[in-house]
Amino acid sequence: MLYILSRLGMAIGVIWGSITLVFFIVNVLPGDVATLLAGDDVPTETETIHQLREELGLDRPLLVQYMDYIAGLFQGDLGTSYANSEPVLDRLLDNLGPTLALTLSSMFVAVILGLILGILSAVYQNKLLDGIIRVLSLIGVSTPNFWIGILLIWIFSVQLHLLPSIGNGSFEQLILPSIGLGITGAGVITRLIRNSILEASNEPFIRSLRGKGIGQRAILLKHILRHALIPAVTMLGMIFGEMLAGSVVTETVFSRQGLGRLIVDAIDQKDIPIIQGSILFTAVFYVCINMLVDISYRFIDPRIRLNEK
Amino acid sequence: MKRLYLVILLLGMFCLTACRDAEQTINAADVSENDRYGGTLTFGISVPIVGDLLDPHRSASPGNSRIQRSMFDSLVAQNEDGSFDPWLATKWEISEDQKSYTFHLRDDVTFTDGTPFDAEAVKFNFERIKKLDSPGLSLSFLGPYESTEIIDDHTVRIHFQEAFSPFLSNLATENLAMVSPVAVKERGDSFAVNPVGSGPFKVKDYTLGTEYVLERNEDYNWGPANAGHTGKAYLDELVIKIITEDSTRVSSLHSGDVDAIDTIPPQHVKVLKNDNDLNISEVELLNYNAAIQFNATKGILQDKNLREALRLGVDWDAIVRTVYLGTYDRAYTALSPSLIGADADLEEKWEFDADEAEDMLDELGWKKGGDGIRVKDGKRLSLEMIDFYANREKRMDVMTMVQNSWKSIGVELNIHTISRGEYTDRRMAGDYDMWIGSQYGPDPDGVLRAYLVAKEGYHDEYQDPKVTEMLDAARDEQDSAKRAVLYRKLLEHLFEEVYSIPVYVLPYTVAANKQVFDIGFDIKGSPYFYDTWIVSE
Repeated sequence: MLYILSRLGMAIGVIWGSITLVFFIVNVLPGDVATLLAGDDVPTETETIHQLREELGLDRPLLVQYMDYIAGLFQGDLGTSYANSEPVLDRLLDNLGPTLALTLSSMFVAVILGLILGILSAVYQNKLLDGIIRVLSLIGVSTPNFWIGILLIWIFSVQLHLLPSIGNGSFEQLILPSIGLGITGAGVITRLIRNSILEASNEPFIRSLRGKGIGQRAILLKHILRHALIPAVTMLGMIFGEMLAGSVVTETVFSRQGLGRLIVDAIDQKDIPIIQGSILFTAVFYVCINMLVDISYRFIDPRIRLNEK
Repeated sequence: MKRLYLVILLLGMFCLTACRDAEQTINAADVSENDRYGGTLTFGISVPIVGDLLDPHRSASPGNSRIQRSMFDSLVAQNEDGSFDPWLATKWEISEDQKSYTFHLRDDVTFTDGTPFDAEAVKFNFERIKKLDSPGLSLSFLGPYESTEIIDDHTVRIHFQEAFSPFLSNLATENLAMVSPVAVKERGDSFAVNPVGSGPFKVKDYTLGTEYVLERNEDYNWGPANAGHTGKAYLDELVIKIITEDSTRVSSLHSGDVDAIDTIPPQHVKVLKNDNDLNISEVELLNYNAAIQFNATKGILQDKNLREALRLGVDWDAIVRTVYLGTYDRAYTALSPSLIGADADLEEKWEFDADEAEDMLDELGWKKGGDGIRVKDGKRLSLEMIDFYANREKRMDVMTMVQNSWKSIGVELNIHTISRGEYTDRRMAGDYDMWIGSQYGPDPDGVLRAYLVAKEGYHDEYQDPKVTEMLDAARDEQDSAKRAVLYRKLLEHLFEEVYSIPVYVLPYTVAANKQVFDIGFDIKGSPYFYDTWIVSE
């Protein structure tokens, strides 16, 4: 319990740190919001700009703006968009679902593909299949996911007419983007699983299991894999971060709604409330997933639980 | 054996796709007007809707107008030859001194929220533009606007402080289109994203950032006089999807996820043109052509001869041909060819002579240093370019080639791609040597002013009173032939002073499958879907 509480405290610290950092970075960046808003292709009168600045509360000291923002957060108020006065929370909630769906299903693709290929690769170590899988995973890791996305669209939408190329909402529309984004993660997991299985196979406890005459398959599934899973699970938290980052590109390529696209458009227009809100949401996910990962160790590896006592 | 199966399977799959039934070509003339009603057109556009603004009085972006044009009506419509047709105004008179315009309005028009359109509404619209905090292009389109006088319920007179000849052209754009006064008051802030007009389509649903669903305005019976039909629009629904990634946009047309797309990337134009399932249409965007704009009042580019050497030392023809694969035309003047005054033939003045450019630079005292870059009084001939659009319209591909050309005559160009905020700051401070940009608009006055006359708070790149004088003279001239002559003189002046180097003329391209007919374009080059119809399978 204490463990979970301390984790929770750290999580809140991380979230607070990231919003504070982003608040000051975004505000220090060059570019006056009021001038940008008034439009840079039109003659602007300084009168208008002053008025705008006042309305948006930009004429107050930065620290006051910051305190105001934090106070608002506690009341669940994320502010309104500078560009069109829409409530930020609504925009974020609209975009949350599609991005979560995309990142989680990409994780699913990454884990399933990574596990299967990783185990096969280790079992057939140094055989032809292992070679093929190793090359494939290397390609998966090193190919930029926008290119994989474009390739998938070309094959499955343009040539085969099997799946839609753009949009979000339906399950079909989720398939290509999740594969496109998941392949990178799958490459990483494949290599990781392969290596940890091979490492575990040489551990003394596995050798003694073999000595006891337990079947190869039972050893692999019950003992080796469990041992090999720990680094993979650790990696999962990081891969989730990668998927979130990758969703920026994937959402653009597949023309999907989502936080990634929202944030890109917002940065371009220096729509600070939207940028901050998106970062807040992203930080919350990232922290949650990593907390789950930490907690799950205790179930996968009893030694961690024992050490605490 | 297994391999053979695989080969057969693959071949089979490709055959299936290749041997789809050849579509029967439909002859538009055979389809009666009554049979054109119905269906949904899905249209993929290449640019995001800036600020998600559909309010025509607040946006300044060509992407936004691609949706707005079919949602809002203007008082007048402009034809390709520059003449005007009635729309919400049935006729109009211009006073002797050309300072006031009287419009007689239709009396059968209502906005889609039921508000009647009348003289009050017109007055409200113009006064709203004057009061807005961020009025997009609309405020500048009103020029020296003074007031709107209500003559009777359906007659208004607009007064200007001085003669303002671009007014009708500006009025024909969606930037000065009519919005519902009641909706403006009722919807408050949310009007910006979800406005109400009187056009053939209205917003049904939207997902900000990705998709807009418009539905037909069933009461519509007041289309512009130059449209192809009368009454309501043919399409039941118009779905606009924002697909910024070029290859995805093209793929989604091939795959049938959308019926039509815009802004075809040059490398795809040839392929799509040869595709029998598709039609490509292309219109010129009325534009201040994409041009490299020099900072002629700060830094080393104050020297006109140096600017001239820079222009002389680059084979612009070859660059435009190479980058755009023959799909974009070279620009010879600041104005795109269909704008008034742009027909002036400045073409013969342009030449490319790298040797001469080098001689000029030598004469100016810039001598080649050890690294091949010229030096004068210990200062390197090194220029800073700023940009925030990334590679929009392949501009940075152009600039990279220009960079190489200049390098070979001993000039260094550093290209800085920075955030829009930093870019604006540097533009205001004059901290740069050049930038590249273009501006769309229906009349030369607006687009030239946007680039040649410094805005308040911005660094003045030219400080040339002659430019403002010439612009004012042309604005006050009502006779369009005389106006054209005045603009031609101005373009020549710009050429002599080498304030900028026009590079290319931007076309607006639309590719649609063969079931789609009559996607129209307004004078500025925005698509207009009032006459559009689709053959359902």
